[in-house]
Amino acid sequence: MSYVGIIITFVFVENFILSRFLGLCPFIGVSRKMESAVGMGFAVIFVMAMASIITTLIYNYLLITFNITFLKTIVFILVIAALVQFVEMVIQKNSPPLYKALGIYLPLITTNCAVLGIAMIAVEKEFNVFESFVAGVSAGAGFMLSIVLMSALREKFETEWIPKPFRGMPIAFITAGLMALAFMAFDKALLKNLLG
Amino acid sequence: MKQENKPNKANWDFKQILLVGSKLFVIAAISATLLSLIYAVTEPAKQENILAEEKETLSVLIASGDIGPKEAVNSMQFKQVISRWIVREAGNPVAVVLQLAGNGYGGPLSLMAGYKLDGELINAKLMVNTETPGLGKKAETDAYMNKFRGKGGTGSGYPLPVNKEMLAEQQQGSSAGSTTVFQVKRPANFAEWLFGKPKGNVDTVTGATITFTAVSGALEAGSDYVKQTWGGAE
Amino acid sequence: MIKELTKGIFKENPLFIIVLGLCPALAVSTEVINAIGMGAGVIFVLLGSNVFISLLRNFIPEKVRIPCYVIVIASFVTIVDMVMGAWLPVLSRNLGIYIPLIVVNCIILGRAEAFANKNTVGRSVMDAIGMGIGFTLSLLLIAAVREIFGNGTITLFPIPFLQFDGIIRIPGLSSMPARVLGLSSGALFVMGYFKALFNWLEQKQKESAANSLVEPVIQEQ
Repeated sequence: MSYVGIIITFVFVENFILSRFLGLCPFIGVSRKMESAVGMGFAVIFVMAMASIITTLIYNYLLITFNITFLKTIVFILVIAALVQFVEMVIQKNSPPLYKALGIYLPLITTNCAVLGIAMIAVEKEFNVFESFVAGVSAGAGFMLSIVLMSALREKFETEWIPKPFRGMPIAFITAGLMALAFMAFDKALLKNLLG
Repeated sequence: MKQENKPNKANWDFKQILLVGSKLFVIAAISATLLSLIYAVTEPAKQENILAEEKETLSVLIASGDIGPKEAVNSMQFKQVISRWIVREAGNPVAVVLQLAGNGYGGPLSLMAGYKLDGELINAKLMVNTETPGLGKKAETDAYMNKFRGKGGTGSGYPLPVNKEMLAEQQQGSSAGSTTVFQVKRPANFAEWLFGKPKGNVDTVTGATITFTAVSGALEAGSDYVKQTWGGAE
Repeated sequence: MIKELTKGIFKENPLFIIVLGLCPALAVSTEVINAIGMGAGVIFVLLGSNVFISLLRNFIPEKVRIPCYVIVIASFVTIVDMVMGAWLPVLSRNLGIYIPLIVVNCIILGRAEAFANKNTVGRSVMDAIGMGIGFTLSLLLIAAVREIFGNGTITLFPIPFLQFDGIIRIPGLSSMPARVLGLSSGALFVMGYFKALFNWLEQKQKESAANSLVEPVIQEQ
């Protein structure tokens, strides 16, 4: 797959939230305000980019070499947890404004399926390190795209009347469903027409 | 925040770090050992399963003839061809089964396809795929391969369809057209509505075009490989 | 003890009330059999990790407890992954990367942190079974709605000696299903409506509870 192909695939065609349901918990939880959605989006892009590089490096050069690929789940999740912790420490020390913006979202990301998801998908698709990095950034961008769109919609809901049982999460799910329907316009046929 | 951090840091003396670290190490070591033990049991079973599935598929794809041993193929031109089984009848090769790899919607997929020596597809089966559940899963069903069967040979009428336009043309062309593939067919009467089997094609609805592209691409590469390897000899 | 078992099924239902573990739930709910497989996997991991964490609760150092939990959980997930890959290849193929993703299913880490590290093994077992069954039942509900209305079928396991291919076809639905329910958007719609239903039920319960606060005075006589 070409790099443009990877980007379009992960941002639109296989949008992590709307077509693969990865990272749905923060998507529903943190999409009430546009501001926090943007913050969460950047934090996810950042962590996913780092995580996809490191996990691919470890998988390709360590796990395969020692023939212990069956330990990948444990290794990946520990690496991701350590990475998030490390990133949090570095940001806190060196850039307090950035920490203020992203800090509260970082701990939430360890248990975000999207990060482990991209590591697993990179393994499954046999990406090399750079492909995996591009995939990580684009999947993060896809996540950000949908969470920001969602938050813009949910801010509008606050002024609208909604039947009581539907308030909050249910209407968010149904809206996400409609968004997923719209995103189906991005399919592989589009990729084929664009890239030949 | 600061006041809370300081006494915490003071508590982290060397001894404690060692203790905590060793406990963590013990847990990790135990689980790694346990997992490798289980792996030693499950991995052979998994391989055995794959072999059994291959054998079963071979017998489905090829009705008669002696199926030879599995041979690895390292072709620079046809990277999608992974391995092959040559089928002989009275010592002469009559057909070949190829193991093909393609790239599907959700990751690589693996096909086994039987060809006559002129490149005509006898039958094919999708083996491993990691397609998103539901999307593109149709390709695993037997009927899906109908649109490829008997095509692609130098002697047979149709080339292997590699895009949906070609397929639609072939559907219209063949008056036999058993099932319409690209329209959701409405049931003709009440009885059909009540007892009919699922119709229409998930592909058109889900846009899982990539499964089709991957499957047809791999099948076409296989056909070309067969033509190049045996085409001259026949 | 019994309360620990039943709370997971309705009052603290992980999927519909607490809304945890969404991504595996929605992604694999296209077929009933996938829901059963995923549910079984989650129950096994939940049970295993709850028992071990409850046993080790005095051994695990407070400061690195989360990494320890993660190791225990990931080990059980890997066991499920390997066992399914070896003996249930079709199911394992269907569930794909969503099996390893059980690790980040918040239900499991949540139960470890909130329950198992504070309670005895017996109570943790009950809690795990209750939560696991609650998760599986809700997953089954979503999958059943999606498969019955989205494809007109119920996919179970094939039983060779009964000539049963594992797929029940629903008359009237299998010829003209609402395909949208089988797609990713369908999962979100179904989830949204179920959550609304549970909100409504909870609301009703609260109202009747508020009413019954007045009544006990009469009953006590």
